[in-house]
Amino acid sequence: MRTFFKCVALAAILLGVACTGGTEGTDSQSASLGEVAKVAIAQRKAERTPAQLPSLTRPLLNSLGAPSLEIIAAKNGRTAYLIPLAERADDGTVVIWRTAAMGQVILRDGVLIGTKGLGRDLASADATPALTAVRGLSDSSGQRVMYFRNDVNGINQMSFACEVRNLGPETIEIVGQKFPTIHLQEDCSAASGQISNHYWIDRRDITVWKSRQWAGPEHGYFDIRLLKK
Amino acid sequence: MLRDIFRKTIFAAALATLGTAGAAQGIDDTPRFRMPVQPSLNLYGSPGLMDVPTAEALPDGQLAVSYSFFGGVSRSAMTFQFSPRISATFRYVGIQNWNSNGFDTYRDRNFDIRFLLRRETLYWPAITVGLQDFAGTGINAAEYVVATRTFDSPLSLPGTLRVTAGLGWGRLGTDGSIGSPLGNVRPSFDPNSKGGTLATDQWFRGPAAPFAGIEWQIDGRWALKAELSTDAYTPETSRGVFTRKSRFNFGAEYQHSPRLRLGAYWMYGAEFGLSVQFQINPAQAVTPLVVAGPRPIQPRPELTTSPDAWSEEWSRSASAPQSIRDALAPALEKEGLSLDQLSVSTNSAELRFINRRYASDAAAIGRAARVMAQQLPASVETFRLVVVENNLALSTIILRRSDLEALEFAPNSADALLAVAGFSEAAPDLPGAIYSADLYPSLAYSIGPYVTPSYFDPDSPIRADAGLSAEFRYRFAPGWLVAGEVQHRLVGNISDSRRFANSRLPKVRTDALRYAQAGDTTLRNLYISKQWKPRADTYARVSAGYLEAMFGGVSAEVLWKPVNSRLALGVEANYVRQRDFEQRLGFADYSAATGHVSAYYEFGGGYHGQLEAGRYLAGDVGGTATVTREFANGWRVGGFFTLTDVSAADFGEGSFDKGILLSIPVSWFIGQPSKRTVSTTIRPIQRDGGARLAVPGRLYEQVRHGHRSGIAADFGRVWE
Repeated sequence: MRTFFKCVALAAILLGVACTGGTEGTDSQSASLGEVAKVAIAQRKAERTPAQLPSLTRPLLNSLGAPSLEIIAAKNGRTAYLIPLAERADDGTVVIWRTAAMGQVILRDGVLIGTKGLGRDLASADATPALTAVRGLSDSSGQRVMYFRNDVNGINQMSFACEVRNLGPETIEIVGQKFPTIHLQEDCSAASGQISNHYWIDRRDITVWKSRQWAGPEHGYFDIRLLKK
Repeated sequence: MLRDIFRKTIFAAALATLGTAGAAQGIDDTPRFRMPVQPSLNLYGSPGLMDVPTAEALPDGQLAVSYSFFGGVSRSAMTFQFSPRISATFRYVGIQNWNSNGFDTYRDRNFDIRFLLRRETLYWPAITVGLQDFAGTGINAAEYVVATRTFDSPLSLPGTLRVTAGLGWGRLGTDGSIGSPLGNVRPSFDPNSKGGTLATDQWFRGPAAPFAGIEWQIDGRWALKAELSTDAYTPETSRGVFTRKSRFNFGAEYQHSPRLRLGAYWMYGAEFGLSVQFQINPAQAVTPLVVAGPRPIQPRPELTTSPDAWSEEWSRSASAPQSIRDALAPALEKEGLSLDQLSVSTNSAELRFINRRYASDAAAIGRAARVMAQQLPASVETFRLVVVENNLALSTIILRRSDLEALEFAPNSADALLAVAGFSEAAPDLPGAIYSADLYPSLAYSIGPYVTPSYFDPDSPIRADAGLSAEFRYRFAPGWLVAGEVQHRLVGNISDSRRFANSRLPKVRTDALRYAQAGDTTLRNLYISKQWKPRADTYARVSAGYLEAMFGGVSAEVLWKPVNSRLALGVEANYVRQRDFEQRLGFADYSAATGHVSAYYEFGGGYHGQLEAGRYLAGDVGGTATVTREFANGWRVGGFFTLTDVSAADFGEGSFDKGILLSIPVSWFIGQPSKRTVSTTIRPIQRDGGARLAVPGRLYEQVRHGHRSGIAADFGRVWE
């Protein structure tokens, strides 16, 4: 009852935030106005307190109990650290990486095949040319198809003609550790533009340590580093 | 309401900008989904220059809201691109310093319709035929055929040039006429006519005049416009509203954001003008929907390697259903779903659940299927999922667990799953099911602000009341609902109007002002209802109480809607009594028996039609036709009209009831899952003829989203 009166008082004062309770959402105008206001306040709060990024060192990574993946969105420079949520054998190895907020990035043998919880997500992808090249450390070509969620609960499809070239060996360094890799470049062209994905793959066990992969028109390129396997 | 939506949109747009601030802008040749060209609007709110139209169509589904002013003439307009070729406009105009026919300021409502005859091709221009103000008293009545051709980088200049030429009748044929090619007789504009009827006798009649113009879109921001207008503005200039000194108009426009465009103009060599144009598209959310990712489906172990995991022993235990329910229910709650009923057997399980979170039922079905895959023993292969809406089991979606396991990370996984999903009727009850222990009783409440707008009072075109609203919904048993809402007005000016009803019919709707003046604290509704399914494809509802602000009584409804059918049929009967102006518990003397038979049809592609025939609140008998364009995310724009045995003279201004329907989902603004929508009905004028009871909880709206076409349209979100 006290909550109820607090609600009334608060609503009366703010006249912008509704109080709602119960399992069932009501569809009244006040409930809708209240929901919009609540989200606005929460988003503003989140903007004011951006997450602090850790400074990466090899000892820090060694002390981690779980594998970790770093993703930097080239479009806005935002960085996220992800841990595996699940791993399964499904035409290679599919790993579902997740952020604290359950944003997800799905990699099949290191090749991006989906995102979740980011908005206008990559719903699924047929990345056969890249997978063939990564698995065989070889040149490859063929069709890539990417499926994106749209704002009307449907899927938009984007098809590419792709060519993957082996650019040769390259030694890369990730937080103080060196890896002997093969650098592959995947050039794809669609009707409305081009993309270039890059993969740095460990010569010894086909691990994709580093990559730059296009996640779609909404999110652009992701710079991905596997910090710990 | 519109102002309300506009304000919210601006607000949400500001949020979206915050969210993307700091985005690095660089040269980017990565692919994108091509956005259709969004033509600019004229001062009438249609694609055009200043006073003359152009031939381009807006992108499909586009909603354009605009305001313009020059020389004492103001126009507020809303245009909707109903289909790729057809658009409709509703406009409210005010002409200051009219000072005749009993008006200081002349105000009127117009409807336009445009049809794109030809799309622009390599050799052909776009060609459009349009009827402007085709039904009103005709202050802006005009018809036109217009062609527009686009030239990229004209004469090595930057940007795009659009050249337009056309032939206009009516208003657009009053200056520079070349004669009357299609007939001489055209009835003249009558400021005191009741309007509302189709003015077929004037379309394309009388003098016609050629008009022309150019628009140069210099870059992404700036555009210049020039036109030769054939509108002599005879009604205005003869009354001294403004002086027309030239046939030429010039303008500059600035695209502030993809949704907002501002314009300034020099009109007829005499007046400055301005416009604000706002365009939104249902397919482009203000904030894209973000749903926290789900737990992936964990495939069952191989039968050959782990035969124990596949044991069917569990199904012989009498307590198995309870323990499975107790494991499922909390896992479903985490996903915003509530378990209603569950039936499990060795190889199959049926889960009936309530979707409390997702606007898309497909998203709810996907989440529920994941929870089942996570919790159920390996031997359960067939999942039957039933979305339950207020005790109505809507449909059964049948998914094979092995399909879920195989397709989760497959290319085009949504279409692949839809191809193997089955849809069938859901029986009213699930035999042998165990029920959720804690669904009833349930109470939901909401306390918050409300705004009630009132439009088109000639003395003050926008009025509004605002205050606090408190509502509750109490469910004590399956299908039963007790609900009510109380409002307390804190501020407002609706009751300041002096325009009392002059209706010749029983005043079933035109006493709104008396209701507004009677008190600040009002009981909006308070009713009890029960709904259930008599058969697998039939739904029923009875309600009683204070059903809406002006009427109380009893209401009963039956709806037939098979899961895979485009057609639905309904019958509704009500006996109601008018409520006291105070809107407390009392009733007035007037009572009415009102009811309809309804046919609903989904044409496909988001086009829906509805026909109703029956007796309306004022005792008049007739029918209502409604057409809407809908989008799977919940956007809906439509129009309706009602014709009854009330004569145009008895009906009064407007001649018959008509209006515009608009629904926008809240999730489209906030980018988070929500089942709420913001809806409004805009009537050019509210009279008493053709008035329907606003009974809460009509069945069709509760039912159809959970049927095959509704779920299939949402299927892009099933794995989300």
